[in-house]
Amino acid sequence: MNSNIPVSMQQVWGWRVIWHLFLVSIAAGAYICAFILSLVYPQHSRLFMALATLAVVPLLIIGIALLISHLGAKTKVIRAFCHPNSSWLSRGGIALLVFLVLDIVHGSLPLNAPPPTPWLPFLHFVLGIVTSLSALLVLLYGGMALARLRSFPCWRSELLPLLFIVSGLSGGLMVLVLLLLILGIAPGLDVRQPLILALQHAGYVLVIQGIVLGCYLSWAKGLPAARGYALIITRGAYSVTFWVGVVVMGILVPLGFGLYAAYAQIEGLLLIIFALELAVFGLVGTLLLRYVLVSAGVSSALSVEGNPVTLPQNARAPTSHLVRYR
Amino acid sequence: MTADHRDQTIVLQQGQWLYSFCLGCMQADCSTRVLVKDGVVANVEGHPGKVPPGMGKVCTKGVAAIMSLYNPYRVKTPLKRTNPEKGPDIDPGWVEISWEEAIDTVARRFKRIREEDPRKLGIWWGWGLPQSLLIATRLVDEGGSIIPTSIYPNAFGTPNELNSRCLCAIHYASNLVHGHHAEGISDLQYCKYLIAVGRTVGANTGTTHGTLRLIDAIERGLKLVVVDPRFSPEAAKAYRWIPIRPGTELAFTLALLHVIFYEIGRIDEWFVKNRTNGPYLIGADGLYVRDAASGKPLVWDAVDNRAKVFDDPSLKDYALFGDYPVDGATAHPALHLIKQRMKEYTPEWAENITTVPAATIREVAREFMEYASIGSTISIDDYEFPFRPAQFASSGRGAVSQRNGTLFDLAGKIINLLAGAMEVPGAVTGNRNPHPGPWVLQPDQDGTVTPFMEAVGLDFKFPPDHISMSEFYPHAHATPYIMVRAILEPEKYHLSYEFEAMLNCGANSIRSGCDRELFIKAYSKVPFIVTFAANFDEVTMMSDIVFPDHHFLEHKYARFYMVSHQNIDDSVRGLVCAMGRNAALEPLHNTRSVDEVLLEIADRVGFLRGRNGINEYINRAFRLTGDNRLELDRRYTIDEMIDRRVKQMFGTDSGFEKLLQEGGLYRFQTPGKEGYNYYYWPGNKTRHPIYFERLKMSGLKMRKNLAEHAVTIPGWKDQEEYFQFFDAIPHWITPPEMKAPPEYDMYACNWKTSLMRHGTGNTQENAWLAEIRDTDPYELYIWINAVTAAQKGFADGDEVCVESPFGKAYGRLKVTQLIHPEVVGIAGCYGSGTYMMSPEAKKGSHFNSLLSGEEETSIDPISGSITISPRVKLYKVDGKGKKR
Amino acid sequence: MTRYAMVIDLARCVGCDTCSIACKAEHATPRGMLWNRVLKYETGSYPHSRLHFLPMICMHCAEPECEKACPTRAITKRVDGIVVVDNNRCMGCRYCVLACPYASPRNLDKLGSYYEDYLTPFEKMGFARHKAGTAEKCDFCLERVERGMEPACVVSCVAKARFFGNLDDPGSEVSRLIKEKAGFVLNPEMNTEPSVYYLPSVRGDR
Ligand SMILES: Nc1nc2c(c(=O)[nH]1)N[C@H]1C(S)=C(S)[C@@H](COP(=O)(O)OP(=O)(O)OC[C@H]3O[C@@H](n4cnc5c(=O)[nH]c(N)nc54)[C@H](O)[C@@H]3O)O[C@H]1N2
Ligand SMILES: Nc1nc2c(c(=O)[nH]1)N[C@H]1C(S)=C(S)[C@@H](COP(=O)(O)OP(=O)(O)OC[C@H]3O[C@@H](n4cnc5c(=O)[nH]c(N)nc54)[C@H](O)[C@@H]3O)O[C@H]1N2
Ligand code: SF4
Ligand code: SF4
Ligand code: SF4
Ligand code: SF4
Ligand code: SF4
Ligand SMILES: [Mo]
Repeated sequence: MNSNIPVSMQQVWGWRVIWHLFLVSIAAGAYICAFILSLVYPQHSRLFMALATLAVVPLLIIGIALLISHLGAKTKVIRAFCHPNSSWLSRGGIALLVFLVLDIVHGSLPLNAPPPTPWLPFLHFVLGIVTSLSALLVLLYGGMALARLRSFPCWRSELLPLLFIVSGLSGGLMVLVLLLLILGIAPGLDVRQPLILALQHAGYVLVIQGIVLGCYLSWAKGLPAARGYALIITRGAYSVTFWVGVVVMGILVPLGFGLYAAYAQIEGLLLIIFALELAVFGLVGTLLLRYVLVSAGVSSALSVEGNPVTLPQNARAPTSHLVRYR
Repeated sequence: MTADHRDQTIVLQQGQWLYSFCLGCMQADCSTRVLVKDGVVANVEGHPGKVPPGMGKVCTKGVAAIMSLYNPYRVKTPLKRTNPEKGPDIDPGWVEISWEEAIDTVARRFKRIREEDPRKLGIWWGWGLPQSLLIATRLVDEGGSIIPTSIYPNAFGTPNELNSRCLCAIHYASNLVHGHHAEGISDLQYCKYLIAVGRTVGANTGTTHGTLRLIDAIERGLKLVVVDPRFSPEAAKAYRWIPIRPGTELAFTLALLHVIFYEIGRIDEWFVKNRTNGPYLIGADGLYVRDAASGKPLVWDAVDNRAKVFDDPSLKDYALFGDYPVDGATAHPALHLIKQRMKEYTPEWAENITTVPAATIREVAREFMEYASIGSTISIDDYEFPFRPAQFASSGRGAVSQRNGTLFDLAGKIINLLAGAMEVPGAVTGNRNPHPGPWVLQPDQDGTVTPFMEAVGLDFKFPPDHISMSEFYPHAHATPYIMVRAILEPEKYHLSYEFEAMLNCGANSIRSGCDRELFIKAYSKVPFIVTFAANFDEVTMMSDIVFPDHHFLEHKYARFYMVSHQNIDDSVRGLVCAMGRNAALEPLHNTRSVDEVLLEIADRVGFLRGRNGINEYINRAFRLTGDNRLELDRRYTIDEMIDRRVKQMFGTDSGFEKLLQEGGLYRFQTPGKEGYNYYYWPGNKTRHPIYFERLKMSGLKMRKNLAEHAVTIPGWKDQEEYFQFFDAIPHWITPPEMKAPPEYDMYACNWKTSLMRHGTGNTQENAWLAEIRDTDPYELYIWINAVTAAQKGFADGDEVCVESPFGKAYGRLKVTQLIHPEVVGIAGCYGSGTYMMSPEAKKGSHFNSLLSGEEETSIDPISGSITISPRVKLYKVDGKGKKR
Repeated sequence: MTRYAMVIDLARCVGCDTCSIACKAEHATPRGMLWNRVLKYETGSYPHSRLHFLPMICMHCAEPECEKACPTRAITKRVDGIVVVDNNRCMGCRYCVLACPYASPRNLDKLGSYYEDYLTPFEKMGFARHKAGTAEKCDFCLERVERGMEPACVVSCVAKARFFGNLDDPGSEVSRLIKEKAGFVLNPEMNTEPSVYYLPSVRGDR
């Protein structure tokens, strides 16, 4: 690293928050993607929506549970909704709750009631829109919660929430892929078409994701206060995870698999392998992306009388390294 | 406001504030108040009445005392050892015993020793001392001036009053030149230019009051020059930081003198002629030329062109330079000789030795003389004083605790004297406290200031009485490292008796001294060691009987302000002050007051009552008169004794009770002009020695005495090595450090910090102080200059061993720009402790393991000080301390 | 109006950490929790190098990022400008810990005692005032301030490097010092409008 200002990475938000962000984003992404796919490909609409609404529930619940487990005073979690007018965390909390409820409502709505009910598809549509909006908010909140921190110049870019949204969507598609694969095991169910569709769109989204990621990092590299952060990711402590995990495993490989599978129209076992590869690698990449971007966060140096003063390593953690007594 | 904050308010309101004073460091004189809530000490603050010298402040250690009070590693009950094998980390096989058994055992033993030969008991004190007035309080001679010996050892009858202040023998020059203790005080109210060499003026250790006064002075415009191998907190406030090669301050100072004499050429002639012995004629033997009839020293009257006695009323002008014929021989004014001697010490010469650029030396000399504004006066309370707002502050540990340290300090005094900057406003001054009297600056029969304390010199006796060999080091501050050598090799040191017992109070030379292994060996050889202990430090672990001491916050007590060390300034001049401490709580453990135990022992042994008993010495040391005097045959409690002293100082309507209610009683008895000693001895009424004839005399006397008994100074193969120091003019002597084998390519240096000044108040185990120092980027590390580190291939955080010819210290490197390239720095006195202490004590590096008190390699023969900046080498080690 | 403020004079501060310990004693903060910390850093190269001290506490921002970030409204800014954390409301999400540009709040992961199986009476008493898992920070000693006392760190600072007063009163000592000695805040670009001002470590006239 050629920056001579020592940098210290945040140690405040750790794996629980990262897993939380990962799980809720892929849940939200899965829902949104499924909804969009079901609009574009009405023939698969039931399948997509059923899978999405089903998957969202456990993902969200585990995600929320992880967040709660991160809290120091868990019993006070109910207060998380108190401050939506300025706190992105509060907004996120509300969004999560709303999304969860709507998703359950949506999921439990009968697909076609015995006496034909013409208003039902419309209800599905409206509910889908509303739920998607809440899911979008869930997708947005993680990125915004970071991007609104003045103390972390490295995150202060609209590109970060955008990146989180895009990667949430790609992750969501991968969830769908995984679920379709599982469903495919059931005899008599042909999931090939929807699978190809999901793979194909995952590929498109990954292209966008790669572009946004590149833009974000080059933005960070160009900003003096965020340069150290960009370097930690691309050349420093997180470089291996980043290049191998996020770029190759999380973007390039699944992108290749996805597009190839879609355009080569492969079938059978090969398709299953490709899809599995894409979903697993892609999801790991989606997780690692969050891991790297969140863990490497470098807060702004203090500037004192013209001198940049780095806060000590543990600035935001309790200070003591005391050994145990007795 | 939320519920929680309301709770907090209640917590505060339910408490009770009690007056107290602090024992977080050797100073032990900051008045405080202690918040007690439900029997728990909840807070410590400065006394709101701003009682001096603490002035309502309390520092890190004073507040952190809460944690040393509740420290679970304290000594909680009297103990006796059952394992005869002794060592700091050897299980003593402690057995808990009753107070009665402990006191009885000690009293019987002491009684036998006292009957046999009282010299066989050594009473050893350190800076846990402010817990005992009986040991701490100095005696007063017939003339009313204090002498360097205290109540308890005298009443017992032993000359062996020992202490571990061996790394700070900084008093001789001040005792000689100013005639007062402990050393010159900075007149920070007026000083404009202060050169502090290897010492703190207060801020380095964040001491109360000293810090404030220095910072105020700097705010007012004082220019501070810091000469120190490391960048200190004061350097951060300084106008110049001059890093210097350790132990070469004498060369730096001699070069300053050279510049003043040969390049600036202007000195305060009036002052030198009238207020120093500079005009005294010196004969070929280096001694005063004396008038045959009166025996008085002669000076040369430059107008009448003949020699006259120094106080001849017909004197018109003194000659300072030239050759003058007296009784057929040629004599020279002392100043002439001093100037001559400085000729060779050019700044270029000094640059080579000190690494301080010659240009810097010239600039500093010039600035100093300019700021001294020779000739100017100041009127204080309508009294006109010479005004010399410049000070060369030399008397600090860093530069004085060196082989050439006393010569350096003396040379520093000469700088002040040449500028007329002594005992006048703005300059280095003395303190008439606590015992006012004409003795400060009082001239002796030669017209020069009467020497005081360590400058007086101990009478020679053979075989020596003192186990620490004071007879061979008559001006020494303390030489415990010679004591340990004498214990181990009694014949070599001509000892006519062997030590039977040691009584130890708040001292720990194994940790804070030198020659760690020798000390341990010697302590093992002493058959009976009794310790008043706060914790299981090395000495406690080697003891036979352990008396657990109160924590000071539990100790209802009093303290009488003593002018002590350098962290004081003009604003405490003339201060008479008593501080009272209420017990903040019942003792947590089975502890007792040191003094009460000492009184009980004295009574049982039989030196409490009657002539030369404790009571009589109390009368003398406390200066009790009239009704306040103790009857010699009664048993008093320490509280009663304190009460008498308070009444003696502040009148019969005062007393201990009143002191406890008010926390502090004080007055300034020499306000305004009376604060300056010049006022009492103006004009040519007294003279400071600028030519140190007395030092030369001490050497001559020693030669004579040795010859008489046909002995040599033990430990010095080459006796001339020893005697070359006893000269009347400071001169350069190449220290052994500069001749060290080339493998020792660096120096080590050490300093006190705001978190650790001494082990007083048990700072080494304190959990709060530990918490701060653990997060500090400098405190526990071994400092090394960045360029040196790069050259040697060291990096930040490397595990290293620092090795001197005498021992090793281990630690982690801090690569920094804040230290001289040839120096490794280690702060405080960390890295030592025993397995029964909190693990905190052992953290960090133990600087003192690098030190030795070996005579020829390490001792300054005048002050007895050891060299605290030894040559060292540095190498990387693995986790187990093995060389890599 | 009252807006409490502190001025820390870097020309006077000697980096002694008395403030840190005084704060610790005043608030009985558990092991590891320091509301006041003194940063040390060096500049320049030998022999023109320099050591600097920077005492850091909560800046009691007029536009507190922590308050905006806090989802539970545990952090509030009082009318007198003091920003407080109510540990009864805090859920311990540590978002404020990230949000503060001055790294002031910290999460008290647990009520850490100094000795493993021993709670000193002082800690026992003090622990009642803290809640494990919640965020904590300097509260400008509001319980002292409300009773007309100065904050503990101000009272104890041995160098008198700290001053406390009302920023809204142009005649107050703090306002005067800021004006006369070119007081500045840290990282003004954060736009949090801190109420803690620093005075330059080297005075303009020297
Ligand atoms: N590395 C290093 N060494 C130094 C110094 C340094 O700055 N750095 N300074 C040197 C100087 S200047 C001096 S004067 C000496 C001082 O050296 P000492 O006078 O030996 O003082 P300490 O080493 O502080 O030891 C004091 C001992 O007293 C005990 N003690 C503390 N509080 C109490 C109490 O309340 N009651 C009782 N009964 N005992 C108590 C503690 O156990 C502690 O070990 O150290 C010298 N050694
Ligand atoms: N309040 C309070 N005041 C005290 C004390 C206390 O406990 N409390 N203790 C008192 C006692 S016992 C003493 S001895 C004095 C000690 O007071 P000082 O004599 O001021 O001793 P230190 O604080 O150890 O500072 C020594 C300085 O010398 C520097 N130094 C080290 N080696 C060298 C060297 O080779 N050359 C030069 N030029 N500098 C060097 C160090 O960096 C450090 O800055 O303080 C006394 N004052
Ligand atoms: S530790 Fe020393 S300087 Fe500090 S408050 Fe106590 S007595 Fe005063
Ligand atoms: S107490 Fe005062 S001088 Fe000491 S570090 Fe704190 S602010 Fe600075
Ligand atoms: S300094 Fe930080 S914690 Fe304090 S008010 Fe400002 S933003 Fe909040
Ligand atoms: S940790 Fe507590 S105070 Fe901080 S943002 Fe979360 S809920 Fe608010
Ligand atoms: S103002 Fe009070 S709470 Fe804040 S740092 Fe100072 S002492 Fe601690
Ligand atoms: Mo000392």
